[in-house]
Amino acid sequence: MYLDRKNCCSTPSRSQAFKKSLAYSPFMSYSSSTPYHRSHDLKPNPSIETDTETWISTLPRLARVAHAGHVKRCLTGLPDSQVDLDSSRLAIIFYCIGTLDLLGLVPDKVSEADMEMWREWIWEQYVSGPYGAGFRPSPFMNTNSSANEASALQPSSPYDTPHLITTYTAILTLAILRDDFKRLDRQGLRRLVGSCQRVGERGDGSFSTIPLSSSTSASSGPRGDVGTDEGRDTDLRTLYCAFVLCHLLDDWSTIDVEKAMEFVGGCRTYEGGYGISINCEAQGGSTYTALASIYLAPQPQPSSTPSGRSGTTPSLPLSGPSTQAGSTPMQPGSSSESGPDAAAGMSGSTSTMKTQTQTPRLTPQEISQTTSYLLRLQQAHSSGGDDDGGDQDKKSKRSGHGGFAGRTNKDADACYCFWCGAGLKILGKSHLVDSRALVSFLADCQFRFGGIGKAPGENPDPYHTYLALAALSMYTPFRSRPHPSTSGVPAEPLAINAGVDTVNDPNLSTWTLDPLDPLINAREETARWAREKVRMRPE
Amino acid sequence: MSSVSVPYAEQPQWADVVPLPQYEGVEPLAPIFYTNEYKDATDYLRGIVKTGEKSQRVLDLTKHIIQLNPAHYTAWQYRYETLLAIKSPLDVELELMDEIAIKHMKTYQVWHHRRLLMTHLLRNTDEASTSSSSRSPSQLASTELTFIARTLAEDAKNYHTWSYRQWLLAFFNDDSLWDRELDFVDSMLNHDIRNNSAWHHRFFVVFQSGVREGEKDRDRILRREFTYVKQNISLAPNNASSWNYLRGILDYNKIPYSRLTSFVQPYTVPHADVPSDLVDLEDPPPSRGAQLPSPGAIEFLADVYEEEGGNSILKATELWKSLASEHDTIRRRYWNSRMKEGLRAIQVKS
Repeated sequence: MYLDRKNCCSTPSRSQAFKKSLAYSPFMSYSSSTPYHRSHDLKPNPSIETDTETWISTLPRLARVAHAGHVKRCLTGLPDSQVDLDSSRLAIIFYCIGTLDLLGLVPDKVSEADMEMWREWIWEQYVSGPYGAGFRPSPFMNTNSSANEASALQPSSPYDTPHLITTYTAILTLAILRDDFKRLDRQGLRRLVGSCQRVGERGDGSFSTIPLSSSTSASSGPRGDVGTDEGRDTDLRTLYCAFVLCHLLDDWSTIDVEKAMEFVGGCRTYEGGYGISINCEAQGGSTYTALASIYLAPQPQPSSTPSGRSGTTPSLPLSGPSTQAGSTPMQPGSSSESGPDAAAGMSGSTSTMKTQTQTPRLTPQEISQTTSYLLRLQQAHSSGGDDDGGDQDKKSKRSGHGGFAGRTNKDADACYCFWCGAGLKILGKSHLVDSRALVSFLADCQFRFGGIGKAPGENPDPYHTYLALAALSMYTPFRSRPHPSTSGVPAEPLAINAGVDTVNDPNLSTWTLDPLDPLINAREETARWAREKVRMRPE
Repeated sequence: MSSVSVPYAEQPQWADVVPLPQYEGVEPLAPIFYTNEYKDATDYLRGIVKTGEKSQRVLDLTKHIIQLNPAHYTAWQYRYETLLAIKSPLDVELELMDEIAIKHMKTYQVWHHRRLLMTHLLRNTDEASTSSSSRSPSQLASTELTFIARTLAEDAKNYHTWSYRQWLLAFFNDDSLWDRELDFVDSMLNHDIRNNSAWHHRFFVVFQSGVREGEKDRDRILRREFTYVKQNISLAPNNASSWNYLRGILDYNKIPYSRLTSFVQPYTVPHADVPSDLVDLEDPPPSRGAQLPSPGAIEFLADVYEEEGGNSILKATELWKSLASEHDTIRRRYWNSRMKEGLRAIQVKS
């Protein structure tokens, strides 16, 4: 389960697996590639000479209309088998409306009446209490009985609170719907983020999805003793959402950034990835949230003492590139490679994001170890054959070629094509991915009647549909014109579309998607809107 | 439970509660078409929460809702607070939740609930009401480890379950609990040598969780771990988990990769005819039938050469080239970039 991943909304003929006519054979002995290093002194291998045409001829269409249809159906209603989405409806709504956004349908192809209705429903989840203001996941605990009561923004009970992850998804969804955010209480939002962080003597810097009792008890009655385990879902996902909210507000003063970074560092494992919490196994999704958080975080400021908590409890040595190494005993000696754009990782930014040439929060060794970890999660069915008779995964790996797995020795899954792919994008290493194999895998995950499933033959759901398209937005095989990067992540060489005229080919042009901001996980234009409209304004 | 089929409205013992429907002001977005049973039960939960009642019947109601929707975090939260408020014995609650935990093991809330219960049991040992029996917290934790093992038998890579195990061990930090962990890892890996969760757990137990009594001789521990991982590589040379583990040991203990050169070499070439009666315990050879060369071994050896620097880097680039063109072609762009970096390093030197 990652950010409320659910199997959701398959079409009535769920038993019918999507099987496209494309055989895997063209990719069996992966013989096609535009050599990435055309110009340098190493001769490209003759066996990996380019065969773009063969590859293109095997690629099906991206079924854009059908995928949009899938998420629109979900927006109309979800079957009772999806009842476990009750307490995270806003997340699934984000994946639905986000899908429409990635497909370029918002705002032009959605009626203003629909947009208005959706915005209104989202704002109805807006709630404000002593802990601050944010969005509930759904009205599942809303006991207001009249519109009057509801419009007062007061929580209907101490259990009717905003939720940090769904607040993140609500803000992004509203940005997609081009809301003016006039109703947003920015002070309240920054207070909410602060109310969710576990700081102080026993705090580990992590964030709870719901405000901690200390901040709610004042006026909302007793909430019981929840011990040092206070809060819920206090893991990297929540921390990431908190960081995006601070980033959009451009205000970090209500949280202890260094304490949070300490938590992130503690999640790093010997594999070079990050677990979802301290001591947990490395995983693609949590590695993404860790990397995005690290790159979203403001630079450590050793001398100044900014207002708020961040100035009062500096818990790490704040200078030098070894910040992380101080908290995690990892000294990878494996590789001293730092990729060509590692140093330029976050340069070239024209956005409001602070330009970072590199993050002092990761050493070059850590960056190359993490790069290697993530790249190794891309599955190839030719590798890994063994000898011990105990390879349970071998069968399923055959259809997983090109997709990313979530963990070492697991199967490829469409959602990890985003989590791992975006992690690599943030590190400035996306040019090292076999993007053709990735695209082919995702093409295979398309469900016959619309939507994208986690693997070929699986039923679709909005979560996998959105994330597969988000991955394609970063690894789009064809882009009619080079997009200048505005997200702070440098534009990277489009290694696989050299010389292909996509504009005139109706099949190939279905694959053209707008660029995505990998740090906050939104189409770049949407991300720009969110930054512009949510940002704290001087009062 | 009898209440499953009878609506709460028709049960006399609930007659005093005012059910509260979920508020929907405007046209709902992505509404869930609830079953009547779920709607009824949650109407009563909202009613209960409004009045703040904490009682035995609240435990029945929340259990009912959890069974219908284990992701309902408020039902879990309210249940936990009710347990404390009415001083319900928490060890009984643990057992009561066993079945639900196994049935819904992929739901985070299931494990979070157990975590809260275990925390409270440890923190409040003197409180007679907390536990129904006289079992000590570490006895309870031990029972809990057994329960986790049972759950992992159903789904050997379940992330929440493993996380909970790691949390439990670190939280109780009791030697008697740690003692049996390596045997447990062993049994998991015997079942599936590619279970990365088990490999991660081993690293957590041996290196990440501190040095316990009886493990002070770190050289001995290191020798044991090298032997363990080498034997596993010998058995399945293309298992990424064991290569990652090997690298993890070396990195963590700051040992140069070259220490392993003689072990790794036979794995980097197509089958060499090693006489099978020659058993080298220090450097076990690839098992018969292994698919060689192993990309993991080639990558490792290239790292050794790169670490050596100088002209050895040329040897490394040859290996990367073989990965790019033959043995690990999906990552050829990566291997090409390693080659480029390596050659650049040589040029800078000369």
